[in-house]
Amino acid sequence: MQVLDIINLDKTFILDGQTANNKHAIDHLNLHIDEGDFITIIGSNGSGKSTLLNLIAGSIEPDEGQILIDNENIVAIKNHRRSRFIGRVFQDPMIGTIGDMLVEENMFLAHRRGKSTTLRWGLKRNQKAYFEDLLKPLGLGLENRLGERMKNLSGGQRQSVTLTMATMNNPRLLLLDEHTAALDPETAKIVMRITNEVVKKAKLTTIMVTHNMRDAIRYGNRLIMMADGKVIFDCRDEEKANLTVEELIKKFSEKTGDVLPDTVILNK
Amino acid sequence: MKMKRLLLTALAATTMIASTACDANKVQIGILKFVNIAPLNDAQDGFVAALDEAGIDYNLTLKDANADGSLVTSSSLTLIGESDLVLGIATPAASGLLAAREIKGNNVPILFTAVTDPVYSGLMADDDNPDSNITGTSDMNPVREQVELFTKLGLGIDKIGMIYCSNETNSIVQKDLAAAAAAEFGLEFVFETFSETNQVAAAMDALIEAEIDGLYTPTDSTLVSAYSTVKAKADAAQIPIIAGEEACLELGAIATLSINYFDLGKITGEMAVEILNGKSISELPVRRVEDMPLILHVDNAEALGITFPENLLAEADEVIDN
Amino acid sequence: MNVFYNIFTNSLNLGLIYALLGIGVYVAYRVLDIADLGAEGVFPLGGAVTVLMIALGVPPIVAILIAFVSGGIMGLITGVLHTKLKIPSLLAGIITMVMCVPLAQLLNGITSSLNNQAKIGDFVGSITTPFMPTVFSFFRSFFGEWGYIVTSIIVIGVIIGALYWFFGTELGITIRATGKNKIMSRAQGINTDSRVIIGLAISNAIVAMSGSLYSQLMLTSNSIFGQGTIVIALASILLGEAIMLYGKPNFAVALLSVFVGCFSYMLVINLAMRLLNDNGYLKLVQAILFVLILCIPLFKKGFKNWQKKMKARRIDASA
Repeated sequence: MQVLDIINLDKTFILDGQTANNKHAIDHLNLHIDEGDFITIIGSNGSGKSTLLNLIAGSIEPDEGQILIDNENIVAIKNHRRSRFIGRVFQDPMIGTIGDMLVEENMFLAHRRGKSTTLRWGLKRNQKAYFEDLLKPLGLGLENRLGERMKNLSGGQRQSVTLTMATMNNPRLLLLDEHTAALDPETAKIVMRITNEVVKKAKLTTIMVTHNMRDAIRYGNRLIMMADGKVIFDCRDEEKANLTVEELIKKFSEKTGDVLPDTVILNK
Repeated sequence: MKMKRLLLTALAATTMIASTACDANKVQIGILKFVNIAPLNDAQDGFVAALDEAGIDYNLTLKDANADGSLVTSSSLTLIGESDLVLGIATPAASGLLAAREIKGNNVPILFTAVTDPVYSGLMADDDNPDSNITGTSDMNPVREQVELFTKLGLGIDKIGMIYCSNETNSIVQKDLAAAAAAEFGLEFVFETFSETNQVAAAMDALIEAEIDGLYTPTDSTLVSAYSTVKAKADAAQIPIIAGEEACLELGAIATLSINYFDLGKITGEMAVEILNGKSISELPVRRVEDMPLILHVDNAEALGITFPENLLAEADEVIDN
Repeated sequence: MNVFYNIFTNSLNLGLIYALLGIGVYVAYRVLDIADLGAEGVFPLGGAVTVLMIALGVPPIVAILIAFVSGGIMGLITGVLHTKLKIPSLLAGIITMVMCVPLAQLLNGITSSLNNQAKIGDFVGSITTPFMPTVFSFFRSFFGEWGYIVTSIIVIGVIIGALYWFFGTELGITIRATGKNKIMSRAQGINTDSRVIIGLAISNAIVAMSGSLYSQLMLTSNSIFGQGTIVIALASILLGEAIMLYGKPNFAVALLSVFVGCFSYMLVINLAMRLLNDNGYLKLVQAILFVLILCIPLFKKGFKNWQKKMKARRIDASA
């Protein structure tokens, strides 16, 4: 069953009016994602990875093409409506949560996602128990910190809560946009482990953009490499499991005639 | 906290300084002036002069509201609470004092000056029978006589334009008086209004298009601030201006019957003296200046090719001819 | 000590009414993070609506509610200008403010036409109505001057209570979230446009209500009385936060701090007024005061650093 169909997606950013300086971010891209796929996307900066996620989530509109979720074109749906069936975790832990509000208030916002808003009092008592149950499996002790302000939590803890919030209502699609890039290596490992567990347990269809080639190989069942707004390499299952980082680097040079920038290579 | 203690001491000190300003035996007089402009300042000086002449032993607190609403409110409350008699110069000041007295609930007598129409402005119900412990002097300019001047110029002027600011209640009063005078003297009046000074030029254009042969400018502080525009447009169409107040003569008008604000203030001061000496306010109807000198500006008239008739020049109390 | 008593009661009287204004501005400025200048026009508009309604015989409390609704409509307009027409919030507020002035004058004209002093359609800048019934009349008959203060306390109490309830509801929480983090809110399915519009409507409605109380206090409707209200509101908010807020207390306390800030500000202004014979300098004093208030966080930081230095020096000396 195909969850996500991207057909002939095209997006150009106009920078300063001079056509020569336009950025053709997504170049007539086609992509099909099956239910239960956990896809990692890698590519150099400017390859279009984040733009792709933004287009799927609805923060930007494409110039051409269709994005179908369960065979329904969602291009016309506004981004706040898409959140009903799309969960997102951003790279910046500050963006994904509201620091000044309490942890339970943040989770409350995620909890009512997709439901209509009433004038009933928010934050009912039985919800607290529900949130605790959601946070316990993370193993970070966050279930005891519901009454604290979000900004008291560390970056890794915030990302973990954001992850929980994004997956709370069983979205059709989970979008992870370099969500461990801003964390230190130890914390990043923990968050990746948690991500893997959450995705596996709920069998979520997930797209994860990452700069870390090791993670890209290790996690997920399918790997996509992007350059210049196109998919240049797409492998899955066994072929993916047998990849090495060196092979990936070689593949990149073959396909693009370019060399991967140092920042990506060093991020092993 | 040391900081807090310092602040409290400062607070106490200033309060003590402020309260020593109150001397129990002298009469406490409070004056609230709406804004610092010449006519209001003259009225204030006249008022004080009358108090001095009568030998009253008084302590004066003067507040200038700087045309700011919140200052009118705070100053009114302050003055009403601590004076034996208050004077409000201009309508907003007077109305502020009236409201403050309602709040404080004391019965301090209120006098006003430089208010064009106290009844229209809502300060009192009947200006001949003051029944709410407020009275004063009106600077209503003699609109009827000023309009009449157009007929005395001997130029056959019969269509007169009047421009005024729609925000000024006093101007609306003068407009009604002008309309009545027009009916009386068989003249045609065209009215144009504006609410902001940048609309003055357009209003003047409209009047000139209506082919007026004379222009009347009422006492209207917003209009006065844009007078140069008015004068420029009128000159271009060779239209003489008769003004509601003396200050406009040097700005380009050719004639007026003026009000002396110092005298107006002095009359108000005399009323204050009577009240302090025991007279009841209900016996003090609103007064106006008696003398309203006719002033002719020959230079401005000559620039438009106009010569005043001999009998008018003879009637004039002052002739400006350089 | 008559002077001290007067300073206290005058500051309290005006402080309560301007505090309501501050609370209205707070909803836009702190909760939604929008600097809405429309308040300068909506404040006198609330007054004009009130004076007209009372002149038509409407009971003062109902007049206040109608003024509340009129402010809400103005807030709606600002919200739509900003979210749907993509006009920057600063300009959107200014547009509303500019719209309110002639509107208030038209309403004054209608009020004036009731005593045949103007026609419907005339623009009248200011109206004085010294003998109109006001919402203050009831408690005034029992407590005199303090009746005004009691009435204002009741009104503010009701509003603070209502706001505290409202911002704890689902709708209220989503509005708060919108103000804190628009991106996250949209990612959580919140229509941030509609939240901004509702929030601005509430903010301006409260501002209009405070304008309504002010016009009933001063028995006048004057379109120039809105000038300078934004400065007073912001000064109250900032001063209140500086005095009262340590850490981040709950919403009701934050709203109360607006009143504390306003009352303190009024006290200082009244004191300054006593010392300055000519109020001409008072505006300068107000401006300097405003700058000082804005610098309080800086002073606090500097003071803390100084304390740390002193502590370090003591430790060194004793070592």
